[in-house]
Parts: sequence; C-alpha cells; structure tokens
Amino acid sequence: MQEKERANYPLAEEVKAHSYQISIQAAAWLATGYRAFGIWDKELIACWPASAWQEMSQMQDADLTLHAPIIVDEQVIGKVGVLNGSKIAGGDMRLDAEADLISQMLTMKAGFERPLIDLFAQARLKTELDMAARIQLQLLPQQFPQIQGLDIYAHCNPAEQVGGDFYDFSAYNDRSFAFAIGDISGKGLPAALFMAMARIVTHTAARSLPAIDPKAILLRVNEDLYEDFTEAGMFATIFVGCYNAPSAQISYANAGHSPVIYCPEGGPAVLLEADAPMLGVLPGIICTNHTLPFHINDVLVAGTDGLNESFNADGEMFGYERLLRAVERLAHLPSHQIGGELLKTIQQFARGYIQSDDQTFIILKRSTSS
Amino acid sequence: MEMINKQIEGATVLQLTGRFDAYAAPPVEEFFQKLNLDPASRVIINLSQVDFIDSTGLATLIIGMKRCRQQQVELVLCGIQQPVHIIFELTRLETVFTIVNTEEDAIAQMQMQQKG
Repeated sequence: MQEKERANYPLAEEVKAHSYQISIQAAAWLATGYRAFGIWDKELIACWPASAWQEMSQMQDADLTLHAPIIVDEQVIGKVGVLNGSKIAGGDMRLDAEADLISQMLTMKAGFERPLIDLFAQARLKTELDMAARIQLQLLPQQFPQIQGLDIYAHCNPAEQVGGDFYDFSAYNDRSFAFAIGDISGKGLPAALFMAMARIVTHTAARSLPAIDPKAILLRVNEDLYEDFTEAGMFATIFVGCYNAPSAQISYANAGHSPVIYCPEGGPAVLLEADAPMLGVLPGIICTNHTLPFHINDVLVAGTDGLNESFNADGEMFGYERLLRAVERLAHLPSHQIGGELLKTIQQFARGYIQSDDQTFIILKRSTSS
Repeated sequence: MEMINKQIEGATVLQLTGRFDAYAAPPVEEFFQKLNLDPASRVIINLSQVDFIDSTGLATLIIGMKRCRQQQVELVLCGIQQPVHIIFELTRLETVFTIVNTEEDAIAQMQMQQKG
C-alpha cells in the first residue's frame, strides 16, 4: 500500500495545490453534495457524512474527486480529500446534522495540514540544498594533473550549509600548470552559484590567456565578474599560482586570499599575503606577480579560511599560528597525508564543535627532480 | 553584536560591538540599505569594540562602501583593533577603505574637508 501511494503521489506541487484548494473550498465542496474524509497515519479518522464510514474506509483512489496526500520525507503520512458523493450509493447529505463533523474536519486540517506542508517544504528545500552541495563538489576536479616531479592533492571538506569554496587546475603540459583556489563571500545557494561561475571564469581565463600569467588571470576574472558581484553584493578572494617544472618556480598572484602557506624544506612556514583586495570590490585592481623557488621537499598549502577560522566550544579559534606550525610538522609527508592530518589536527582542536565553513585546500609538494 | 547609530556633527556614526560575523551582519546591511544621505556627508563605522570579523562582515562593509559611493557619501572606518586589522591587511582591504584611528579623527577630518 505504501509503495502504491508513493507511486500515485509523486508530485509535490500538486500535493501543495490540492491541499490549499481543500482549505479554501472544503465547505463549498461539502455543500454541493460531496463526501469528505480525513485520513491520518493511514487510518480513516473523519468522514462526512458519518454513515458512510464503512464505505469510505474501503474506498479506492479512483473514487476520489480530490485527494491530497501529505508527504514528508517521501512518506505518505496522511491524506485529506473530498469524495464524489455520486459514487457511493445512499449518500446522506444532511448538512446541518453533520455540521460539527465538517467543523471537526476543518479544525483537524488546520491543525495538522499547514505545519506538515511547511515541514514538507522545508524537507524539500533541504533536499535541494543537499543536491546543490553534491553538484558543487562534483564541479571540483577529482583528478589532479600529472606534473613532473610534483605531488598534488586537493580536497574540499564542506560544512553543513553549502558554501562558496572552489579550486581548479589547468594543465598546459606535463611540465607546467596553473592552479587556483577561491572563496566566495557568504554561504548558501548564492555563494554556491557564484562559486560555479567564478570557477569557470577562472578556468577559461587560465586556458585562454596567451602566456602563463597569474596576475592577468585575476584581472580577467575581476573584469568578467565585477558587475555581477556588485549587483549581488558579493566578492571573491582568489589565489592563482603557476608551477613551471624547468625553472622549478611557482609564480603567483593573490587577490585578498588567505591562508596560503609556503613551507620550504625544514621550514619555517610563512603566509603568502595578498597584495590586492578581493575581486568584485573595485572595478580595476592592481596586483603583482610574485615568484617562489620550489625545490625538492618544499610544500605549498593553499587553503581557505574555514581552516584557520575553525572554533572549539570555548570560542577559541584555530588561527594562523597553529596552522603554520601544523604545516611545518606535517611537511615531511606526501601531499594527501598532509591534507588528511591537517584536517585531523583541526578536528581535534574543535573537539566536535560544529564546522561552520567549508575547509578546502590544494597541496603541492616537490617530490623528485624534474 | 550590539549596534549603536548616532549623529555627530553631521556625520552618521555606527558603533559596533562584539563579533562581526554572519549572525551580526543583517542589521548592519539593513542600516546601509536604509541610508539616504546628502552627498558629501560622511558615514563613520566605529569598530573599536569589534574583536572578530569574518568574510560576511567584510562583505557587509564592502556592500556599504559601494552603496555610499553611489550616493557620493564617504565611508570611513575607525578604531580597528589588532585582530581585525590583521584581516584587513591580509585581504588588502586596507587599501580599499578610508581608515583612521579614532572617531574624533574621522569627524575632524570631515570638518577640515568641509572648510576646505
């Protein structure tokens, strides 16, 4: 029965529409010669007229003029509806005598239907948000480029509410590639939508510009997104880096993004600070390309602020200092282990306190000579 | 977060207290949305009692700055404390906002400009 009901009422919009229709018009339906019923938890709990109880408890869906199952989490947990009186022989339509039952039904409806429909709408919204979060994660590259002498790992650990972190790779050949990590302001669907846009614009800029030039990529992204960002009151911090194996160097440009941590072999780890504000703030930005040597065992961790802005129950923040020390301590490991251990370190600090923001990072490690 | 809105010498001053994060941002954003000022007047955001700002807080200030700019009103931040200043440095937003030390400085500067 459960399976049949599910199959019969899959359409949420229809359910909603019917339910409202009953609320407004139930009395009119009854007055013009229909029978009505209420079902709660698969049991008939009210019917009008009362003499039709036996017949109504055996009715089939096909007999219903109007029916509205109430579905929460894909389960039919109740139904309200109106039955076409003509289909049941001997229907008694004494309105006045049954007025209390009508009132009982309407009260019942008012009592259970609205909160359930609200619940249902919430459940549906949550499902859609979960779907958006899943799609968003799928948008992030799951395969990392194969670059000579480089050990690459990236990961996004999403918070409960969908956020705006992204990363991207564009490999030119097996010796050079561009990578980007960004964080869109705000949370929820707006951030997720802009994140998808920003990732694609960044990717296209990286692929279409004639030379490998992080600064030029950022300028292009700002140009492309400035108006949309302004319209929506949002902005994005983005770090773009390019690694070139022959020169063993990373060049980068940073528009307001942190934390990006460079840890040469043996330390100390340092933050690569931004020299331009985030994108979407000013129509024209000024930023510079910087260059770093990237020798064997050097590590670069380009993360998002969900890492350092993790809190524990005492209101203490993980912070940059702990993050830098953790990277130094883990830098001898392969990149995917650095990532795993870093998240573990932060989780141990938070001691189960809720993770309010996405935690995303790209980790590069020079493994062998190229 | 607490929020006090006052008028001082023709400037609109918003004093914030506590953590400026996603929970605190909506009333501040509403303040900016409702702003309707004469051109050449000034909005001063006093952050001397704010000990933490996150990306939503920053976004709110940027929305405010853009809105002020549309109305040709100058937005000035003052009293930024060390933990918050680090964020402004890291994000290079210090280059985007007009930042002065104290509320008095912000008002004095405005009066200088009006005379000039």
